[in-house]
Amino acid sequence: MKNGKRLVRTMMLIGILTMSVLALSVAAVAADLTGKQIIETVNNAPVANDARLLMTMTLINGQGQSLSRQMWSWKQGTTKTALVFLAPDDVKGTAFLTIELPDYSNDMWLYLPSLGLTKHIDANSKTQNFMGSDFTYDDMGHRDINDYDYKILREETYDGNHVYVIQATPHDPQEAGYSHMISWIRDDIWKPVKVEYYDLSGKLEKIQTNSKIEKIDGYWAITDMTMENVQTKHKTIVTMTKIEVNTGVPAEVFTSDGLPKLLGLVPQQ
Amino acid sequence: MNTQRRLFITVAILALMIASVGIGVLGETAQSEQVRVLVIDETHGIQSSLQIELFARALVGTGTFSIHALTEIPTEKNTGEPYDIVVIVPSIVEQVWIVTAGVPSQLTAQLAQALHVVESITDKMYGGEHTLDPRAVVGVTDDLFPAVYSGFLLCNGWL
Repeated sequence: MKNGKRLVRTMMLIGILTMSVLALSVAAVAADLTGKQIIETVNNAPVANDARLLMTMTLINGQGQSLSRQMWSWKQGTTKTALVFLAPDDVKGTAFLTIELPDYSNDMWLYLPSLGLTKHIDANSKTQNFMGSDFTYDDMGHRDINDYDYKILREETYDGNHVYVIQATPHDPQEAGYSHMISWIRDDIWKPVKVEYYDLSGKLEKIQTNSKIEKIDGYWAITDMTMENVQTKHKTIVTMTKIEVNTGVPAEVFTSDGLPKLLGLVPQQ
Repeated sequence: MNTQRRLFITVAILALMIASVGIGVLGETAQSEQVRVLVIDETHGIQSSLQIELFARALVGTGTFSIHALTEIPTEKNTGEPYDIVVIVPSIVEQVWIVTAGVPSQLTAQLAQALHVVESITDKMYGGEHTLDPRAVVGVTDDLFPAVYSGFLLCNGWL
Protein backbone atom coordinates (compact mmCIF):
# COMPACT_ATOMS: atom_id res chain seq x y z
CA MET A 1 0.00 0.00 0.00
CA LYS A 2 2.76 2.44 1.00
CA ASN A 3 4.62 1.52 -2.21
CA GLY A 4 1.39 2.08 -4.13
CA LYS A 5 0.91 5.60 -2.70
CA ARG A 6 4.56 6.38 -3.36
CA LEU A 7 4.13 5.26 -6.96
CA VAL A 8 1.05 7.46 -7.43
CA ARG A 9 2.85 10.46 -5.95
CA THR A 10 5.85 9.83 -8.23
CA MET A 11 3.60 9.53 -11.27
CA MET A 12 1.86 12.78 -10.37
CA LEU A 13 5.18 14.53 -9.91
CA ILE A 14 6.40 13.28 -13.27
CA GLY A 15 3.16 14.45 -14.84
CA ILE A 16 3.43 17.92 -13.31
CA LEU A 17 7.06 18.23 -14.34
CA THR A 18 6.25 17.11 -17.91
CA MET A 19 3.41 19.62 -18.19
CA SER A 20 5.67 22.39 -16.89
CA VAL A 21 8.39 21.58 -19.39
CA LEU A 22 5.84 21.51 -22.20
CA ALA A 23 4.37 24.85 -21.14
CA LEU A 24 7.80 26.42 -20.97
CA SER A 25 8.62 25.07 -24.43
CA VAL A 26 5.53 26.66 -25.95
CA ALA A 27 6.29 29.93 -24.25
CA ALA A 28 9.86 29.74 -25.50
CA VAL A 29 8.69 29.17 -29.10
CA ALA A 30 6.28 32.11 -28.93
CA ALA A 31 8.88 34.29 -27.30
CA ASP A 32 11.36 33.37 -30.06
CA LEU A 33 9.02 34.51 -32.86
CA THR A 34 10.62 37.53 -34.50
CA GLY A 35 8.87 40.39 -36.25
CA LYS A 36 10.03 39.07 -39.62
CA GLN A 37 8.70 35.61 -38.82
CA ILE A 38 5.33 37.09 -37.95
CA ILE A 39 5.20 38.92 -41.28
CA GLU A 40 6.31 35.74 -43.06
CA THR A 41 3.47 33.88 -41.38
CA VAL A 42 1.04 36.54 -42.62
CA ASN A 43 2.45 36.34 -46.16
CA ASN A 44 2.40 32.53 -46.17
CA ALA A 45 -1.19 32.20 -44.92
CA PRO A 46 -3.16 29.81 -47.16
CA VAL A 47 -4.78 31.47 -50.17
CA ALA A 48 -7.21 30.14 -52.74
CA ASN A 49 -5.94 29.11 -56.19
CA ASP A 50 -8.16 31.79 -57.66
CA ALA A 51 -10.92 34.19 -56.67
CA ARG A 52 -13.34 36.61 -58.26
CA LEU A 53 -15.20 39.40 -56.54
CA LEU A 54 -17.12 42.62 -56.82
CA MET A 55 -15.38 45.62 -55.31
CA THR A 56 -16.79 49.04 -54.50
CA MET A 57 -14.40 51.86 -53.80
CA THR A 58 -15.74 55.09 -52.30
CA LEU A 59 -13.57 58.18 -52.16
CA ILE A 60 -14.50 60.83 -49.59
CA ASN A 61 -12.76 64.20 -49.53
CA GLY A 62 -12.27 66.54 -46.61
CA GLN A 63 -15.56 68.29 -47.35
CA GLY A 64 -17.51 65.04 -47.14
CA GLN A 65 -18.10 64.78 -50.90
CA SER A 66 -17.94 61.23 -52.17
CA LEU A 67 -17.34 59.43 -55.43
CA SER A 68 -17.90 55.69 -55.89
CA ARG A 69 -16.33 53.31 -58.37
CA GLN A 70 -17.37 49.72 -58.87
CA MET A 71 -15.10 47.08 -60.36
CA TRP A 72 -15.01 43.36 -60.92
CA SER A 73 -11.75 41.66 -59.98
CA TRP A 74 -10.15 38.30 -60.66
CA LYS A 75 -7.16 36.96 -58.71
CA GLN A 76 -4.84 34.04 -59.22
CA GLY A 77 -3.06 33.18 -55.99
CA THR A 78 -1.37 36.28 -54.65
CA THR A 79 0.56 37.19 -57.78
CA LYS A 80 -1.98 38.02 -60.50
CA THR A 81 -4.86 40.51 -60.38
CA ALA A 82 -7.07 41.67 -63.21
CA LEU A 83 -9.88 44.13 -62.79
CA VAL A 84 -12.36 45.97 -64.97
CA PHE A 85 -14.38 49.03 -64.02
CA LEU A 86 -18.16 48.64 -64.13
CA ALA A 87 -19.22 52.11 -62.95
CA PRO A 88 -19.41 55.05 -63.24
CA ASP A 89 -19.71 55.49 -67.00
CA ASP A 90 -16.62 57.66 -67.32
CA VAL A 91 -14.39 54.69 -66.40
CA LYS A 92 -16.55 51.72 -67.46
CA GLY A 93 -14.58 49.16 -69.44
CA THR A 94 -11.17 50.45 -68.36
CA ALA A 95 -9.19 47.40 -67.32
CA PHE A 96 -6.02 46.78 -65.38
CA LEU A 97 -3.68 43.81 -65.04
CA THR A 98 -0.88 43.39 -62.55
CA ILE A 99 1.44 40.41 -62.36
CA GLU A 100 3.88 40.15 -59.48
CA LEU A 101 7.24 38.87 -60.65
CA PRO A 102 9.54 36.65 -58.54
CA ASP A 103 11.59 39.69 -57.46
CA TYR A 104 8.37 41.35 -56.15
CA SER A 105 8.40 43.95 -58.94
CA ASN A 106 5.15 44.27 -60.89
CA ASP A 107 4.33 43.96 -64.56
CA MET A 108 1.34 46.25 -65.11
CA TRP A 109 -0.93 46.77 -68.11
CA LEU A 110 -3.80 49.17 -68.64
CA TYR A 111 -6.56 49.02 -71.27
CA LEU A 112 -8.10 52.34 -72.34
CA PRO A 113 -11.33 51.60 -74.26
CA SER A 114 -11.92 55.06 -75.77
CA LEU A 115 -8.47 55.03 -77.31
CA GLY A 116 -8.44 51.31 -78.11
CA LEU A 117 -5.02 51.16 -76.45
CA THR A 118 -3.46 48.54 -74.19
CA LYS A 119 -0.45 50.11 -72.50
CA HIS A 120 2.43 48.66 -70.55
CA ILE A 121 2.75 50.76 -67.41
CA ASP A 122 5.94 51.96 -65.76
CA ALA A 123 6.69 49.84 -62.69
CA ASN A 124 7.58 53.01 -60.79
CA SER A 125 3.88 53.76 -60.75
CA LYS A 126 3.48 51.44 -57.79
CA THR A 127 3.86 54.33 -55.33
CA GLN A 128 1.15 56.33 -57.12
CA ASN A 129 -2.36 56.33 -55.75
CA PHE A 130 -4.81 53.88 -57.30
CA MET A 131 -7.53 55.76 -59.20
CA GLY A 132 -7.34 58.82 -56.98
CA SER A 133 -7.81 56.72 -53.85
CA ASP A 134 -5.68 56.78 -50.71
CA PHE A 135 -4.22 53.33 -51.54
CA THR A 136 -1.05 53.18 -53.56
CA TYR A 137 -0.58 50.23 -55.90
CA ASP A 138 2.06 49.01 -53.45
CA ASP A 139 -0.40 49.25 -50.55
CA MET A 140 -2.72 46.93 -52.47
CA GLY A 141 -0.07 44.39 -53.38
CA HIS A 142 2.83 42.62 -51.71
CA ARG A 143 6.09 44.08 -50.59
CA ASP A 144 9.35 42.15 -50.63
CA ILE A 145 9.77 41.07 -47.03
CA ASN A 146 13.55 41.33 -47.37
CA ASP A 147 13.36 45.05 -48.15
CA TYR A 148 12.39 45.84 -44.55
CA ASP A 149 13.64 45.47 -40.98
CA TYR A 150 11.03 44.32 -38.47
CA LYS A 151 10.63 44.90 -34.75
CA ILE A 152 7.93 43.68 -32.37
CA LEU A 153 6.89 46.79 -30.48
CA ARG A 154 4.45 45.10 -28.14
CA GLU A 155 1.52 42.72 -27.81
CA GLU A 156 -1.92 44.02 -26.98
CA THR A 157 -5.62 43.39 -27.32
CA TYR A 158 -7.31 45.06 -30.29
CA ASP A 159 -11.08 44.72 -30.72
CA GLY A 160 -11.03 41.77 -28.34
CA ASN A 161 -8.26 39.91 -30.21
CA HIS A 162 -4.64 39.35 -29.28
CA VAL A 163 -2.35 41.16 -31.72
CA TYR A 164 1.34 41.66 -32.32
CA VAL A 165 2.27 45.27 -33.05
CA ILE A 166 5.11 45.19 -35.59
CA GLN A 167 7.17 48.07 -36.95
CA ALA A 168 8.51 47.65 -40.51
CA THR A 169 11.28 50.02 -41.59
CA PRO A 170 12.24 50.00 -45.30
CA HIS A 171 15.90 49.83 -46.29
CA ASP A 172 15.06 52.44 -48.97
CA PRO A 173 12.35 54.78 -47.65
CA GLN A 174 12.34 56.84 -50.89
CA GLU A 175 11.57 53.75 -52.93
CA ALA A 176 8.98 52.52 -50.43
CA GLY A 177 7.33 55.92 -50.11
CA TYR A 178 7.22 55.67 -46.30
CA SER A 179 9.70 56.09 -43.43
CA HIS A 180 8.08 53.15 -41.65
CA MET A 181 4.81 51.29 -41.06
CA ILE A 182 3.28 49.85 -37.91
CA SER A 183 0.95 46.86 -38.25
CA TRP A 184 -1.42 45.24 -35.79
CA ILE A 185 -1.47 41.51 -36.62
CA ARG A 186 -4.03 39.07 -35.20
CA ASP A 187 -2.18 35.91 -34.27
CA ASP A 188 -5.24 33.65 -34.51
CA ILE A 189 -5.83 34.24 -38.21
CA TRP A 190 -2.56 35.99 -39.16
CA LYS A 191 -4.19 38.97 -40.77
CA PRO A 192 -3.46 42.67 -40.15
CA VAL A 193 -6.36 44.55 -38.60
CA LYS A 194 -4.73 47.97 -38.68
CA VAL A 195 -1.70 49.53 -40.38
CA GLU A 196 -0.24 52.98 -39.82
CA TYR A 197 1.86 54.53 -42.59
CA TYR A 198 4.40 57.23 -41.75
CA ASP A 199 5.64 59.68 -44.35
CA LEU A 200 9.27 60.30 -45.21
CA SER A 201 9.56 62.92 -42.46
CA GLY A 202 8.28 60.40 -39.90
CA LYS A 203 4.82 61.92 -39.45
CA LEU A 204 1.70 59.76 -39.46
CA GLU A 205 0.25 59.97 -42.97
CA LYS A 206 -2.35 57.21 -43.35
CA ILE A 207 -4.25 54.71 -41.24
CA GLN A 208 -5.62 51.52 -42.80
CA THR A 209 -8.35 49.78 -40.83
CA ASN A 210 -9.47 46.32 -41.92
CA SER A 211 -12.86 46.35 -40.27
CA LYS A 212 -14.25 43.09 -41.62
CA ILE A 213 -12.36 39.83 -42.07
CA GLU A 214 -14.43 36.84 -43.15
CA LYS A 215 -13.77 33.16 -43.71
CA ILE A 216 -14.84 32.27 -47.23
CA ASP A 217 -14.71 28.60 -48.17
CA GLY A 218 -11.93 28.09 -45.64
CA TYR A 219 -9.86 31.16 -46.51
CA TRP A 220 -9.65 34.33 -44.43
CA ALA A 221 -10.31 37.43 -46.54
CA ILE A 222 -10.38 41.13 -45.68
CA THR A 223 -13.74 42.28 -47.06
CA ASP A 224 -14.04 45.79 -45.65
CA MET A 225 -11.15 48.21 -45.37
CA THR A 226 -10.71 51.94 -44.94
CA MET A 227 -7.64 53.99 -45.71
CA GLU A 228 -7.67 57.44 -44.18
CA ASN A 229 -5.09 60.08 -44.98
CA VAL A 230 -4.90 62.02 -41.73
CA GLN A 231 -2.95 64.83 -43.38
CA THR A 232 -5.36 65.56 -46.26
CA LYS A 233 -8.50 64.32 -44.44
CA HIS A 234 -9.29 62.22 -47.51
CA LYS A 235 -10.64 58.72 -47.00
CA THR A 236 -11.18 55.63 -49.16
CA ILE A 237 -13.55 52.82 -48.25
CA VAL A 238 -13.24 49.50 -50.07
CA THR A 239 -15.92 46.84 -49.76
CA MET A 240 -15.70 43.41 -51.37
CA THR A 241 -18.78 41.32 -52.03
CA LYS A 242 -19.86 38.37 -54.15
CA ILE A 243 -16.56 36.67 -53.39
CA GLU A 244 -16.14 33.24 -54.98
CA VAL A 245 -13.00 31.15 -54.67
CA ASN A 246 -11.55 28.32 -56.72
CA THR A 247 -14.05 28.70 -59.57
CA GLY A 248 -11.38 28.18 -62.26
CA VAL A 249 -10.64 31.62 -63.72
CA PRO A 250 -9.68 31.40 -67.43
CA ALA A 251 -5.99 32.00 -68.06
CA GLU A 252 -6.72 34.67 -70.71
CA VAL A 253 -8.00 36.95 -67.94
CA PHE A 254 -4.41 37.43 -66.81
CA THR A 255 -2.96 38.40 -70.20
CA SER A 256 -2.60 41.85 -71.74
CA ASP A 257 -4.46 40.59 -74.83
CA GLY A 258 -7.37 39.62 -72.61
CA LEU A 259 -7.87 43.09 -71.13
CA PRO A 260 -10.21 44.41 -73.87
CA LYS A 261 -12.48 41.38 -73.31
CA LEU A 262 -12.77 41.60 -69.52
CA LEU A 263 -16.01 43.57 -69.48
CA GLY A 264 -17.64 40.76 -71.40
CA LEU A 265 -16.39 38.18 -68.88
CA VAL A 266 -18.03 39.78 -65.83
CA PRO A 267 -20.59 37.32 -64.42
CA GLN A 268 -24.25 38.27 -64.56
CA GLN A 269 -25.31 39.98 -61.34
CA MET B 1 -50.92 42.72 -113.87
CA ASN B 2 -51.62 45.53 -116.35
CA THR B 3 -48.91 47.74 -117.85
CA GLN B 4 -49.84 50.83 -115.83
CA ARG B 5 -49.61 48.95 -112.53
CA ARG B 6 -46.31 47.41 -113.54
CA LEU B 7 -44.93 50.84 -114.46
CA PHE B 8 -46.11 52.26 -111.14
CA ILE B 9 -44.36 49.50 -109.17
CA THR B 10 -41.13 49.91 -111.18
CA VAL B 11 -41.07 53.68 -110.60
CA ALA B 12 -41.76 53.15 -106.86
CA ILE B 13 -38.87 50.68 -106.57
CA LEU B 14 -36.55 53.03 -108.44
CA ALA B 15 -37.59 55.94 -106.19
CA LEU B 16 -36.92 53.86 -103.08
CA MET B 17 -33.46 52.88 -104.37
CA ILE B 18 -32.55 56.48 -105.16
CA ALA B 19 -33.81 57.61 -101.73
CA SER B 20 -31.77 54.97 -99.89
CA VAL B 21 -28.61 55.96 -101.74
CA GLY B 22 -29.32 59.58 -100.84
CA ILE B 23 -29.74 58.73 -97.16
CA GLY B 24 -26.51 56.75 -97.26
CA VAL B 25 -24.63 59.68 -98.74
CA LEU B 26 -26.13 62.03 -96.16
CA GLY B 27 -25.09 59.63 -93.39
CA GLU B 28 -21.54 59.47 -94.67
CA THR B 29 -21.43 63.23 -94.91
CA ALA B 30 -22.58 63.57 -91.32
CA GLN B 31 -19.85 61.14 -90.23
CA SER B 32 -17.17 62.84 -92.31
CA GLU B 33 -18.08 66.14 -90.66
CA GLN B 34 -16.77 64.79 -87.38
CA VAL B 35 -13.49 66.44 -86.46
CA ARG B 36 -10.65 63.91 -86.57
CA VAL B 37 -8.45 64.06 -83.49
CA LEU B 38 -5.25 62.12 -83.00
CA VAL B 39 -4.28 61.63 -79.34
CA ILE B 40 -0.61 60.81 -78.80
CA ASP B 41 -0.13 59.37 -75.31
CA GLU B 42 3.56 59.36 -74.49
CA THR B 43 3.01 58.80 -70.78
CA HIS B 44 3.85 55.60 -68.94
CA GLY B 45 2.10 56.08 -65.62
CA ILE B 46 -1.27 54.77 -64.50
CA GLN B 47 -2.70 58.10 -63.37
CA SER B 48 -1.64 59.90 -66.54
CA SER B 49 -3.01 57.11 -68.74
CA LEU B 50 -6.34 57.03 -66.91
CA GLN B 51 -6.61 60.78 -67.23
CA ILE B 52 -6.18 60.50 -71.01
CA GLU B 53 -9.01 57.94 -71.10
CA LEU B 54 -11.28 60.32 -69.20
CA PHE B 55 -10.27 63.12 -71.56
CA ALA B 56 -10.94 60.99 -74.66
CA ARG B 57 -14.38 60.00 -73.32
CA ALA B 58 -15.25 63.64 -72.76
CA LEU B 59 -14.32 64.44 -76.38
CA VAL B 60 -16.22 61.46 -77.79
CA GLY B 61 -19.19 62.33 -75.61
CA THR B 62 -19.71 65.61 -77.49
CA GLY B 63 -20.47 63.66 -80.68
CA THR B 64 -18.25 66.07 -82.60
CA PHE B 65 -14.98 64.18 -82.58
CA SER B 66 -13.63 60.86 -83.78
CA ILE B 67 -10.58 59.76 -81.85
CA HIS B 68 -7.54 57.74 -82.84
CA ALA B 69 -4.53 57.10 -80.64
CA LEU B 70 -0.83 56.40 -80.77
CA THR B 71 1.68 55.91 -77.99
CA GLU B 72 4.49 57.92 -79.56
CA ILE B 73 4.92 60.78 -82.00
CA PRO B 74 5.15 59.18 -85.46
CA THR B 75 8.35 59.76 -87.39
CA GLU B 76 7.19 58.12 -90.62
CA LYS B 77 4.88 59.65 -93.21
CA ASN B 78 1.15 59.12 -92.72
CA THR B 79 -0.40 56.85 -95.33
CA GLY B 80 -3.96 57.52 -94.23
CA GLU B 81 -6.20 60.55 -93.91
CA PRO B 82 -4.69 63.52 -92.06
CA TYR B 83 -6.10 64.70 -88.75
CA ASP B 84 -7.67 68.03 -87.93
CA ILE B 85 -6.22 68.32 -84.44
CA VAL B 86 -3.43 66.44 -82.70
CA VAL B 87 -3.32 66.32 -78.88
CA ILE B 88 0.02 65.26 -77.45
CA VAL B 89 0.40 64.28 -73.80
CA PRO B 90 4.17 64.20 -73.38
CA SER B 91 6.14 62.28 -70.81
CA ILE B 92 8.87 64.91 -70.44
CA VAL B 93 6.83 67.87 -69.22
CA GLU B 94 3.57 68.49 -67.35
CA GLN B 95 1.75 69.97 -70.32
CA VAL B 96 -0.77 68.95 -72.94
CA TRP B 97 0.13 70.18 -76.42
CA ILE B 98 -2.75 70.97 -78.78
CA VAL B 99 -1.37 71.01 -82.29
CA THR B 100 -3.05 72.28 -85.44
CA ALA B 101 -1.86 72.94 -88.99
CA GLY B 102 -1.21 76.62 -88.43
CA VAL B 103 -2.22 79.20 -85.87
CA PRO B 104 -5.92 79.46 -84.88
CA SER B 105 -6.50 82.55 -87.02
CA GLN B 106 -5.54 80.54 -90.12
CA LEU B 107 -8.08 77.77 -89.46
CA THR B 108 -11.54 77.47 -90.98
CA ALA B 109 -14.40 78.68 -88.80
CA GLN B 110 -15.55 75.09 -88.15
CA LEU B 111 -12.07 73.94 -87.17
CA ALA B 112 -11.49 77.01 -85.01
CA GLN B 113 -14.70 76.24 -83.15
CA ALA B 114 -13.70 72.58 -82.73
CA LEU B 115 -10.29 73.68 -81.46
CA HIS B 116 -11.97 75.90 -78.90
CA VAL B 117 -14.03 72.93 -77.69
CA VAL B 118 -10.93 70.71 -77.45
CA GLU B 119 -9.06 73.39 -75.51
CA SER B 120 -11.98 73.86 -73.12
CA ILE B 121 -12.34 70.16 -72.45
CA THR B 122 -8.59 69.73 -72.03
CA ASP B 123 -8.48 72.65 -69.59
CA LYS B 124 -11.35 71.19 -67.60
CA MET B 125 -9.95 67.65 -67.51
CA TYR B 126 -6.37 68.57 -66.72
CA GLY B 127 -6.88 71.67 -64.62
CA GLY B 128 -9.89 70.59 -62.59
CA GLU B 129 -9.96 69.69 -58.91
CA HIS B 130 -10.37 65.94 -59.48
CA THR B 131 -7.76 65.54 -62.18
CA LEU B 132 -5.52 62.53 -61.75
CA ASP B 133 -2.71 64.23 -63.68
CA PRO B 134 -2.60 68.05 -63.49
CA ARG B 135 -1.10 69.70 -66.59
CA ALA B 136 -1.04 73.06 -68.33
CA VAL B 137 -2.67 73.20 -71.75
CA VAL B 138 -0.61 74.91 -74.47
CA GLY B 139 -1.21 75.49 -78.18
CA VAL B 140 0.92 76.38 -81.18
CA THR B 141 1.06 80.06 -80.22
CA ASP B 142 1.85 79.39 -76.57
CA ASP B 143 4.92 77.23 -76.60
CA LEU B 144 7.77 76.06 -78.84
CA PHE B 145 7.00 72.33 -78.72
CA PRO B 146 3.47 72.52 -80.18
CA ALA B 147 4.68 74.95 -82.82
CA VAL B 148 7.56 72.69 -83.88
CA TYR B 149 5.34 69.60 -83.95
CA SER B 150 2.77 71.48 -86.01
CA GLY B 151 5.33 71.86 -88.81
CA PHE B 152 6.68 68.36 -88.38
CA LEU B 153 3.30 66.61 -88.44
CA LEU B 154 2.09 68.78 -91.33
CA CYS B 155 5.15 67.84 -93.40
CA ASN B 156 4.52 64.14 -92.78
CA GLY B 157 0.82 64.24 -93.60
CA TRP B 158 -0.49 63.72 -90.08
CA LEU B 159 -2.11 67.16 -90.05
